[in-house]
Amino acid sequence: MITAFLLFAIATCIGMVSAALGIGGGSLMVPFLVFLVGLDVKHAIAVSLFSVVSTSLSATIVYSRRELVNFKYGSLLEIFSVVGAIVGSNIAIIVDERLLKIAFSMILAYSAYRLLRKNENKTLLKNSVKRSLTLSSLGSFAAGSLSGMLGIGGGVLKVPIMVLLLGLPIKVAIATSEFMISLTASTAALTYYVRGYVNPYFAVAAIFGSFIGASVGSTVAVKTKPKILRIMLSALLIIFSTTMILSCLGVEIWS
Amino acid sequence: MVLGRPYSKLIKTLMYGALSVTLLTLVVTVLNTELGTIIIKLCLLFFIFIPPISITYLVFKSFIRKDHTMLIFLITILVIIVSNILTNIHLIVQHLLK
Repeated sequence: MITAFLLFAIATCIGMVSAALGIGGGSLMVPFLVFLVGLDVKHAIAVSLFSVVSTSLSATIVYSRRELVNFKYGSLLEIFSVVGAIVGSNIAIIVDERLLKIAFSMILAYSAYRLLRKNENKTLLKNSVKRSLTLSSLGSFAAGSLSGMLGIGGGVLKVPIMVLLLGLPIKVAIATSEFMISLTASTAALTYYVRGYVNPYFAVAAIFGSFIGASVGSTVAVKTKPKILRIMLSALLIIFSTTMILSCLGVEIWS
Repeated sequence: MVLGRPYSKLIKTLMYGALSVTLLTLVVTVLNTELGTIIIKLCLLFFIFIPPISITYLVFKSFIRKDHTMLIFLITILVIIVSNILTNIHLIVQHLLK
């Protein structure tokens, strides 16, 4: 009972941050579940996936009500992301994981730098839209591949891709990212569900917590200035990047 | 194409439906643990199916509005999701009966 309440509280907090920044929150949730709640990794991933589905759906309710979700770009990029994840998970065995982590952390750090420098009012010229769409499709494929190879969620790369390559406003990028995450996470959740890794009561606690947290987080994000959202997202990218570099050097923060 | 509001309403209805049934089931669990666990498992399964249901809705809407580009994108995603469900269908049945 106490564990369920603890899980509810963790899911509420993580759901709030994740929905506001357009990420799933799995990479934040799993360490908490393993080290605080004491679940083993597979069970923790299973519960976190239900939390991610709940977060993304709850955020999508708020964002799509305000017409912030770009369904066309979201569905196009999602296809490339899924194909990338399938390719990535298959070639993961032949690529050096440390090299991948370094490359990924570099991309995250560069994205954070570009996000901080970007001018929100700068819009794309009509003739550059096609080029940007091709570039962002390739970017989504790469993001999907990296998530497949490293076993992390792609949400953290989806927002920078849409903002930097597609030129979407940050709020639209966050909203579209949540729409995309709901599709990916539900597919992954089914895989863990049928293999019996899901503790139903823990999953229910995580779902309720994430739903409430994400409703609050997304409502706050809608009212927050784009510049503040960019700074917050950049900070998160830098944290992820640093954690990844440290793990390459053998320093595991969570252990 | 304004799709956001009806899409939001659909997800909201499905989510609130699933969450309400889950809450009621938690009460049932106190009286009968086995029955409660089975219903919660069904609720979780329904919860996983909310995104595919919502995509089907978007496919339907795009078809009505003759937005062929989006229709192709959505059908591709739906095919991927549905094929994953069909691949695991025997495992889903096994898991529910367990």
